[in-house]
Amino acid sequence: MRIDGTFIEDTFAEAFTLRVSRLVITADSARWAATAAQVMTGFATSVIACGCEAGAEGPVPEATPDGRPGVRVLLFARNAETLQDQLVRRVGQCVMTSATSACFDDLPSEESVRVGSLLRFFGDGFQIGKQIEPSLADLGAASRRRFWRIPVMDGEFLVEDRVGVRKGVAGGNFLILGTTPAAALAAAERAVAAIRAVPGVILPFPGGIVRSGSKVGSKYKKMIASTNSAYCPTLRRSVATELPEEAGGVYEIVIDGLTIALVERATAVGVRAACGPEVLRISAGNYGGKLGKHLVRLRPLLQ
Amino acid sequence: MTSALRLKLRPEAAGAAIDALGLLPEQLAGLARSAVERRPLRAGGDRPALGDLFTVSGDGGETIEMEGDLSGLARLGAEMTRGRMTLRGTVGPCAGSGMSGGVLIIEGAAGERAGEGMRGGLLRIRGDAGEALAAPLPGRPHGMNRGAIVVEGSVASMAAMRMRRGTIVIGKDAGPGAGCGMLAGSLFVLGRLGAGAGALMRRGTIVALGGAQPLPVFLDAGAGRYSFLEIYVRQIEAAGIALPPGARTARYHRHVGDISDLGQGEILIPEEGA
Repeated sequence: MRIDGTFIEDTFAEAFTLRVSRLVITADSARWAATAAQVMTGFATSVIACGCEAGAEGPVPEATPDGRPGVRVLLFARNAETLQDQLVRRVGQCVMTSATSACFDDLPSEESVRVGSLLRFFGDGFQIGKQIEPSLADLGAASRRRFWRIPVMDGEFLVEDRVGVRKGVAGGNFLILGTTPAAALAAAERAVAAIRAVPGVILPFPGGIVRSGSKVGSKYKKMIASTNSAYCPTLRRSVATELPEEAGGVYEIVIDGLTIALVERATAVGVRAACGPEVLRISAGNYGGKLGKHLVRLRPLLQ
Repeated sequence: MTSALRLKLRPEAAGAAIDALGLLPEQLAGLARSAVERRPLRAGGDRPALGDLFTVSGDGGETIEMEGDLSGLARLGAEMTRGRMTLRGTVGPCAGSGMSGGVLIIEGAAGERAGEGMRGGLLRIRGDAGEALAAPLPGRPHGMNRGAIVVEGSVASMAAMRMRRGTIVIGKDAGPGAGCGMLAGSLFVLGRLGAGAGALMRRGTIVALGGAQPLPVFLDAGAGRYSFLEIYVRQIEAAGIALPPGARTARYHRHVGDISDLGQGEILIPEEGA
C-alpha cells in the first residue's frame, strides 16, 4: 500500500489502557491559558520516567466554565492514585502559580480523584468552598459540582474539588522513515499539525515528535527500555536493522487519547499528512501484540 | 405509565386553612383517582377527604398540577423528595418546607417561610415570596442546607437566615435582614439588597447585583473579578432570569464580615452599584 509514494507497512501499533483526566485551564488571555497548560504538561512524555503522560489538546474549547479563554489538557497515568498525585503536583505548582488561571474538570465521571480538595489548604483557612447545584432551571442528571476559591496575590484561584477519571488509551504511534533526518522531521511536523485538529488526543513528546524511540529491555539489567536500535541509522551495520538502505532518519509520533477510536482517527490523519516525497515508509512500534490491549493496524485505517 | 395528577381547589374550599402535608408525588404515585380522592387532609380539627376539597383528574404519578386559590394551603410540597409539582396560584405558608428533592414550581406568590429547612431539590416561585424564605425549621439551628430556590419577584424580610448550603436567587429586591447569620451558601439578589443584610454572618456569599449599603461590620476589601461568579451567572441566565446590565463584566467590591462574628462572609457589590 502506498500513499503519495510512501509505502505503508502492514503492521500495527500497540497501545495500552491508562487512567486519564481532562482539565480545562482558563485565564484572562489565551496566551496565559496556554502558558499554564504548557508548564503543567512539561516533563510528562512517558509514564515510565515522568509519572504521567500529558499534553494540551489542539482544538481550544469553544466555551469554558468561566467564560474566559481556555485550553484542554489530558493527563494519563497508570492508576488513579498516581493520577491524583500528578494532578495535585502539577495543578498546584504549575496552574495555580500561573497568572489569572483557573482549573476545571472536563471529564465528569463516576470515578474521581481529589485535586482542589487537597490544594485548598494553600488558602491557609481563607479558602472558600462553593458547591454549585446542577441547574437552577430544572433538575438534571448532573451532580453538584464543588469548587474552591483560593486567595492568591492577583485575586483568586478557582479550582474544581474533584476531577473525573476514566480509562484512556496511551501509546498509539507510528514511525516516519525519511531519506534524511530533515525530510523525516518535515513529515513529522506535517503529521503533528494535522493531528492537532483532532479533539480528545494529545502528543506528549516535545513538539509532538519523538526522536529517541525505545525498545523494551537492554543489555543493562537496570534498564527497562533502551534505544530503538533497529531504527537508528548509525547502527544499521551493527544490529538487525529495520531501515531501508536509503533511509537517513526516523521520527516517531506517539498518540494518547480518550478512546481507541480517537487514537485511530488521529493515526490516520497523521499518517496521511506525513506521506509524500522523501518519506520512504510509515511503520509502527509494537511488542508482537503481546503487551498492549489495543492494536492499531495501519493499513485498515487508511483504506 | 401514569399521567399527571390534576387537582383543582373547589371554590367553596378557597381560603380554608388546610395543611397540605403529604400531598406529594411520591405519596400519590401509582394510586388510582378514587384512592387519591379518599386521601385525608387536615383542615383545622377536621380530616376532610382530598376529593371533598379538590376536583381530581388524572392518576397519581410523578407529576402533580394544582390550581385555584391556594393561599389557605400550608406546607404544599413540604418534605418532597422527588417528582414535580406545579402550583398555579398564590400559595400559603411553608411551601416546600423540608423538601429534599424534586421540583416545586409556584406560578404565583408564596407565603412566609417558603423553602424552610430545605435540603435539596429546586423551588421556583414566579411571584414574590413572604418573610423568612429558606429559614430554619422551628427549633433547628440551620436554615436551607442544599438545593436551589429561585424567586422571580421580591422577597420580604429575613430571607436566607442562617443558611448553611445551597443557592438562592432573588429576581428583584430583598427585604431587610437577608442572609442574617449565614453559615455558607450563596444568595444572589438581582435588585436592591435591603438594610441589615448579613448581620452576624459567619461565612457564605451574598451578591447584591442591584447595589446595597452594607452594615459597618462589613469592610470593603477592594474591587476585583471573580471567576466563580460566571458559573452562577450562566445558571441564572439559563433559568430565564435576566441579569442587570454589566453584571457579567463588572468588577465587584468585596465587603467581608460580619467582623463582630467570624467575619469570613462576603457581600459582593458591582462597582457601579457600590
